[in-house]
Amino acid sequence: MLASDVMSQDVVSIDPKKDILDALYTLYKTKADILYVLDGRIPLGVVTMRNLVDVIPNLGKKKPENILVEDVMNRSIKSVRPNDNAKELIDDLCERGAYSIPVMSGKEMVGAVNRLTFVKMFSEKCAKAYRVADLMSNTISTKNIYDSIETIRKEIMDYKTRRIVITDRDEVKGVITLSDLLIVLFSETGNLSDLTIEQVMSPGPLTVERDADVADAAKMMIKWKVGGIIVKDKNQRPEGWIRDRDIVHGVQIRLF
Amino acid sequence: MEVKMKPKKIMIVDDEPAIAQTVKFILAAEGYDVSTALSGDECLEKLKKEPTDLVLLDVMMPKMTGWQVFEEIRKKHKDVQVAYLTVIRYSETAKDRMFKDGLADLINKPFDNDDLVNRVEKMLTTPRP
Repeated sequence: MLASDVMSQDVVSIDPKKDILDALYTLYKTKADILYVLDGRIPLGVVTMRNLVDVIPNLGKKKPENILVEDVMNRSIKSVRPNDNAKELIDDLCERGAYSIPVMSGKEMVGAVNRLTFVKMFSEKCAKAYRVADLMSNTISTKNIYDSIETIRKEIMDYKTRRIVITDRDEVKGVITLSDLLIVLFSETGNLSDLTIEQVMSPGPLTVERDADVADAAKMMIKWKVGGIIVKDKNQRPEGWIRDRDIVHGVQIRLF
Repeated sequence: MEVKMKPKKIMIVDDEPAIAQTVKFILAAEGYDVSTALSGDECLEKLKKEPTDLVLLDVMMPKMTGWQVFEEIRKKHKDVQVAYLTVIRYSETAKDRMFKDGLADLINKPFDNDDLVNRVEKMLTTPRP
């Protein structure tokens, strides 16, 4: 299987001269994991939620509308050619934790291979192949709904956690991700501590049972454009995540 | 001969049923034809069948955020006006971006009932740019 067989031409992109508010707005509206910074069809870099989160502590008196995409983008992008083997791509998506890898023809970008590509492949070709418990990650961070938003920020920034489950007496109330924290860039005061967990969190997150079919979890991820679903134990308590990355790993074992 | 105008149709989209019902009650009392949806998905399904003039949309909702729902409405139902109902107080710069993108208004929760009614009336009587 070649990169050209699995690449998508549907790429979310932004101009390098746009500011980071435009980048954030585009990420919110499309729920994309990554924005390609393009000059025509030539990729100059990428912007992810992590790039934008890293800006927050260094904002100082600088306003987000004065910070350009080209100032924060990650310029180091690994790319592949259309004729490269897809196995190498899947290794990168799994081991390196990449969201998306651009496919280049000469200097121009002709598409990208995303985790979602392989999540779709799994949902179509691997029904009943695995239970959620077989592929899930058992690491899960939970915080109480009455904790401070600063506690959440610190955990996400310091431990590079992508998602924190918000509970109230063991009941799952919501999830806070990197993108939820970034709402501060849009807020009136620009100060995260002025916001509460309830204001920031995404309510009613998706959940699955540990015995569910991973292909069904994959379908949920595609339908709702989420990168992870909470796995609940028999007592309905959160015990882990099934993430797009885990499913890509499933594809790697099963199909390559 | 008296000609009766059809009431304008408004859809309230909020995952909190109590909020959706409260807003429905306030606007129905003003003579609007009001429906509710408890998720973005339900809103988009209903829009396929129900001609609607204005959608009042919560931002933080399960599964599909208000941002995504707005983007879908903008693509598929260009004549429908959309306003956010939100607990976040956005900066003027952020609001400008959203208005430029076609958002009709941004109403903060908790809201004053009279202010809500006035703003809804303004959205429904002001010609779209």
